[in-house]
Order: sequence, then C-alpha cells, then structure tokens
Amino acid sequence: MKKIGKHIKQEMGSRVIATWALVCLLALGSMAQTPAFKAVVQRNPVNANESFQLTFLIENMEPQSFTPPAFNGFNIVAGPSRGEQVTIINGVQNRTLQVVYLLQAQAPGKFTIGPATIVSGGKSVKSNSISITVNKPADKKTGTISVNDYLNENLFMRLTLDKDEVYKGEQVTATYKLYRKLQIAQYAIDATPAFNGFWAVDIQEPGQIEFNVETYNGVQYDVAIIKKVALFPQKTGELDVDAMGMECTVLIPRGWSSQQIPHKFTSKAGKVTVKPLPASNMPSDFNGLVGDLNMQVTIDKTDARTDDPITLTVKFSGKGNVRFLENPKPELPKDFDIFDPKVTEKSTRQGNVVGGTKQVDYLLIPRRPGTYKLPSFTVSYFDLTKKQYVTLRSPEFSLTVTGEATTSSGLTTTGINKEEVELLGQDIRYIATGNPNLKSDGGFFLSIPAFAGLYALPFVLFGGLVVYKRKRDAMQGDTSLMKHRAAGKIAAKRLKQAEIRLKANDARGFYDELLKATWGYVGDKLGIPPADLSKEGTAVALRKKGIAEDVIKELISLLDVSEMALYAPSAIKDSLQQTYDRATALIEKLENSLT
Amino acid sequence: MRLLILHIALMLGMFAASAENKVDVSTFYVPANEAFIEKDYEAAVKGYEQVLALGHSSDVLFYNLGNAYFRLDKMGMAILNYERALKLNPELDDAAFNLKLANLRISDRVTPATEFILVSWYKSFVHGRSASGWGMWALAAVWLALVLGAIYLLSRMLWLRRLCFGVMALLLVSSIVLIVFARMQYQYQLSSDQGIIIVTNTYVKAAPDENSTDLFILREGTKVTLLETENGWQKVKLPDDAGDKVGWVAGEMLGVI
Repeated sequence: MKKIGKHIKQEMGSRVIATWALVCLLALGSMAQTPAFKAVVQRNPVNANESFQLTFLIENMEPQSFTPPAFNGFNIVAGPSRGEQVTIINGVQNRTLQVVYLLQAQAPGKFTIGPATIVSGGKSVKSNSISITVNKPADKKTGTISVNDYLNENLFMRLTLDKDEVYKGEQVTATYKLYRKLQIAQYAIDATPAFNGFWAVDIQEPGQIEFNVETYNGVQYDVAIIKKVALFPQKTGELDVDAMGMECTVLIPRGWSSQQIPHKFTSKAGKVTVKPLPASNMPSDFNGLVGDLNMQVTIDKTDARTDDPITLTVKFSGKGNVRFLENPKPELPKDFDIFDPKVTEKSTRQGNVVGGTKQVDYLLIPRRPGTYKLPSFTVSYFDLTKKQYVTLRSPEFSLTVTGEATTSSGLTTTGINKEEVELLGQDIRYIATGNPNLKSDGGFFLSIPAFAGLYALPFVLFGGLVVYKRKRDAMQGDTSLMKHRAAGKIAAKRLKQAEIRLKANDARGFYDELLKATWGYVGDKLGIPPADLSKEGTAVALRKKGIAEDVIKELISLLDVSEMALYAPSAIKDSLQQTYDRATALIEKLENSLT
Repeated sequence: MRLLILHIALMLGMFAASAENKVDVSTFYVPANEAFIEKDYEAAVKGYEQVLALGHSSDVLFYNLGNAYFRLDKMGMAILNYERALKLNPELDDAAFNLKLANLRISDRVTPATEFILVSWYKSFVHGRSASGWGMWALAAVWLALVLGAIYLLSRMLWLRRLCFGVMALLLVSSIVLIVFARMQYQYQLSSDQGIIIVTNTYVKAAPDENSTDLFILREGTKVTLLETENGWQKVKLPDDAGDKVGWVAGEMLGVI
C-alpha cells in the first residue's frame, strides 16, 4: 500500500479539488517528478448554458506567468481560481498547481479551447488544447442554470423535522440548516415560512449564524442553523411545513479579487402527519394542552373583612403549548365580586422543548360576611409520556369574611317597602322587667288534667242543680200537683155525701157538702189554699187558665145559690135535685177543661 | 272568673313550680336584667340562658334574651328568641315589633309562599292567641254557660228562661270551638317544625353528608321549615314561592323555634 501524504490548499469548493486530486494522483503514478502541463475538462460533452469546470494542471513546475487561452464560444462564469496540491507517494513528492475556470458554453456546436501557456524556467510550455462538444441546452431555462446547479450543489438549505407523526398539539421541531462550501458575503432570508396550521415558537432565530463542520451524504460542509422553530399543530391531517428561502451573495475568487454572485435558493417543504388526540376519556375541561403541566394555586389570605381584596393566584408551568390554557374560572359565591384576572405569560425552553408559564391573578372582593368555600377547579392536559389525559385539581379554600355587608353594583338590598324604611331608623323596644312567669312545660297555663277538670266542673255543677231542683219541686210544688190530680176524685166523694143528704131530704147537710165539694175542687185544681179562696180570685185564676166565661158564671152562680140556701133556705126555689145536677155537670165541665 | 281559675289552678298543685320559679328569678333572671340595663349584654345573655338551661321558659324571658342578642348584633339568635317568645305568646306586641326590626337587619329575604287568603286568615286568627288564651276563653264560656243554665233552671220567667237557654247553647258550642283552637295552638307551641339559621351563613347540601354537593347558601336569620333529621343533619325547606329549595343543613347551624 502506498503511503499518501496530502496537503491541500483550498480556494474553491473542496469537492472539486478532491476530484482533481484523484486525477492528478492517477497521472502521477507513472510520471513521478515529471513536469507536465495539462488542460482537463470536467465533462465532455456539455450542454449549452450549463457551467462546467476547466482545470489547468501544472505539475512540478514553477510557472513565472500563466496565459490563459481565448475561451471562444464560452463565457467565464467564475475563475480563475488557484489551488495547490502536494502529494508524497513512496517518498516522491509531487506538487500540482491548479488553475480552474468555470465556463459556460454560449451555443451548441463543436468548440476547441486552445492551449494555455506558462513560462517556467525561462522556457514557455503549452498545454494541450481541448475540443468540447456542446449540445443543445437540456431545458429551456436561460441564463445561469448551470451556474445555479453548481451553486446549488455547494450552497443549499435543508429542513429537518424531528418527528413526522405527532398528536395534535404535540411539539414538532423544524430546523432549517444552511450547508455551504462557498464563501458568502451577505445573506438575507427571502421567504419566511408562514407555518399555517401551526402555532410556532422560535427556538433559534436567524441572527448570529455559527458554522460548524458537519457531514452530509458523506461530504463535509460548513453548516449553520438558520432557524429552529417549535411547531404545535392546530389541525389534524397532513400538514405542510413551509420551505424557507434565502438570498446570498456568493464570493467567487477571481485573481486576487473575488467575484460576487447573488444566489437564491429554498429548502424543501416538510410534511407532518397530525393524529387527533384520543377521544375516549377526554375530560370535559380539556382545552388542547399537550405535554406536561404543573399547577400551583395560592391565596394570599383566608380571613378578610368585607371589601378587603383577596388575591387568588394560579400558576401553571410545563412543557407544551401552555399559553393555550384557558384561564380557570373559579366558582365563587355571588357574595364575592370577581374582576377580570391579570394574566402573565412567559415562554420557556429546555433544549428544544418549548414550554411556558402562565400566572393568573384573580382579585376577589368579599361583600358579605360569612364562611365560604372557594371550590376547587380542574385543569386537564394530555400527558405525552403517559399517553393519557391527566386532570389537575386545585385545593379547596375556606374563606372567613367578617365585617358589615356592603353593597356593590350587583348586590342591593331589595324588597324594602316604605313602612320598613321608617322602621329601619328605629330602635328596638326595651326589655320587660316584670315577673317573667317562668314555666317548665309546653307553656299552657294549666296542666291538661286541671284544665279538663275545670272544663268539666260546670257540667257537674249543672247536673247537681238539676237534681236539686227536682227535689225541691217534689217537696213543694208537687203537693199542689197531687191535689190537682186528686181534685176530681175528692169532689166525686163529696158529691156522693151530698147525694146521701139529698135522699135523706136534709137540705142543710146537702148544701154544706155541695159547697165543700165545689170549693175544695176549685182550690185543689188552682193550687190555692182554702183560706185564700174567694169568688173574685177564683174567677181571675180560672180566666187565666182559659176557662170559658159561661162556665165561670155558672160556678159563681152555683156557689151563690148554695150559700144563699144555707143561710136563707126560704129564698131558694130550685129543688135539691136540680142543684145537685148543676153541680155534677159543672165539675164535669171543669174537670174536662182544667188539666 | 280568671281569679277563680287561678285559685283552682293553685290548688291543683302549682305551688311547687312557683316556689322554684322564685329561686331562678332571683339567682339568674333579675341579675340578667340588671346586666342588660348596665349594657353588659354578654352577661345578660349568659343569665337568661342559665334560666333556660334550668328548663324554664316564658315569653318575656325569650323576649329579653332576644333583645340582648340584638344588642350583640347576633341577629340570628335575636330572631330565634323573638320567634320563641311570640310562639308562647302571640300577643306580645313588643316582641313582634322587635322581630320586625331584626328581620330588616338580615340580608336574605325569603318571599313566603302565597296561600289561599281564607287559610292564612284562619291561621293568623288561631295563632293570634296563645293556647292558654284560647283555653281561658273556653273555660270562661263554659262557666258562663253554667250561670245561664242555673238561671234557666231556677227562673219562672218564660222569656228569661228562653234567652238563657239560647245563649247557653251558643256558649257551649263556642267553648268546644275554643278548645279546638286551644288544642291546635298547643300543638303548634309544642311543635318544632320551624327553625332559624343562627350562623352567618351555611351551605345547604344535597345529602346529609359533608362531602355532598352544595346546593345554595342560607344566611343568618332566615326562617326555614324543618323536615326530617338524620345523623345530626336537618333537612330544611325554604318557605318561598317556588318551594323547591330543599336540602340538608348541619344541625348546629340552626335553632328550633
């Protein structure tokens, strides 16, 4: 194996040099230390409008001058650029100088580039001439396509995505890198990606560009990150990540100065597949945060007076689109006024992982005294590591409010009428200082049995009264009643006696018995004692009893006749029998009407 | 008549209670009144509560206690005690007046459910007098009936007897009605189906359990209808128009009238 020592002084793209170094080495294999001067073309044939390299190789000579040939039919796109390469093979050192032109054919046809001339060691040496076949342009593009190809090969941009399948809301990092082998004088971002369908957070902005050597497809480039962005897809499906364009001024050295060529290029667009979040078990309060979340809820005080504001602070921190969290809505009793919260948001970054903090400060103003609960609220997110929804629950706070109730816009005392307004100004009536009449039962003034007794007592007393009256009646009133009832019988007995006297023709005895029978009967019937009996009184009493007037007259007349017959018998014309009949008829009548 | 009733009542063994009464009055009640006069309302409350703790009650005692709580700005307790005083004696106008004032100082107002007017008239009529009041009237009626009955029995004048009999019958019927009223009022006085919230506020729960859902807040001084109890929890109902505000409250949050 040959030992190759290689030192390349590089002025143009190293890839070109490397290619040509290989060619040189092959040539040197047989001609060690042999001076040579050759012209080599990159490819033959070439297409019109396409740039290609023409290299003059000066081996083991020290040229004092270099005269290029006339490039008839070609434009010099860039060059000449110089290079030097020293190779040591098996202890033999070969030194090759390179002069490189970037040419472009003007029109199709067959062209010959004449030899170049160098002066070395006092004599002029000519290179070989090269005939180049130029074909029709490969496409219709005009201008500097082939130059572009060259530039594109040596200065380009790539977009890389760290994931190609994510959940909706999950971060995907897009990196735009610039790869170069050419020198750049200036650069500007030409097309800024819009990132439609994403919420984008820059991780690294264009600004300071730092180049590092990186290998891509086996080739080393100077690589710089132009833009690094965290993308949070807001839609599901296939989403395009926009390409990014740049405009650079490329420095191509020409002689001792260099040529500036503007060059525009864009990266390729990327594609991300966005999966929807699992629909099962999705909490109702989930509002799109995917990643990792912490919640910290604090309250500045739990004891307050009315109108004394209380601050409730909810701090979120985590990875993911934390800014997308909705402000939690603590459910407060309506005895609190709650103002729109103050929200402070900040994006944070840990490596490439974008997160954020969000602080929500609520100002609560208690309006009425009491003990209240500040109920807990929940915030949910989708945990990417666990691949499931996680619900965070705030602690419950107990608030004690003291002081007078105050009215605010929302709380006014309603429903007070005019009378009540007048009452409001008054003070309460004073205590009673008299006997409190303390009782130890349900507050009834008597025990139930006592009450029942007192209620029943009048009935008993009334019953007693009835019994008493019965007895008294039996003792007094009922003698006259008995007489009344017996009057008819007694009268009948007396009339029997009178009849006996009538038969014995004892006129005096007859009238005596008759009078006794009549008076006795009337007296008993009317309840008048015999001593009080008089004809007038009897008449009045009978009238009261509703006895017919002719019956009363008959009675009075009978009595008159009987008395007169008793004391003056001669004056009586009526026979005893007649008087007796009158008396029996009268008593019969009275017996019928007096009950 | 009342004198007679009083005498009989005393004879029926009220002496013992009244003797005990005297001790409480002089040991706690009178000093409590004095504390109130000196504006030491805390001491007054303590004194009155001690009398209550001994198992005694009276309209005036509750009324004075209510006043002491009113001065201490404890409107729930003030309202509770005024209500208790009025329950014992609906004719205690001062308590009614002070209750009205106290009710103006609380922040929750419950619109009572509208009732058929005759029903509310009837209720306010029956509740307008204490059970004792109705009872006395019933006794008065029945004793007057006795007097008239005696006149009816003993008089010989027909018109007088007729008059007395009619009035007596009327009195007997009304005495029965009055006894019904007395009984209703007595039941009402013994009943405990109304309460007053005595803490500044409390959450009404859906179930008799600390962890159940909060339904609404009740505030100091609000009158509620008491339904059932369970494990120290009281089911309450707001006597408002809708009638759908029902829930459970921890027992210590309210006082039973």
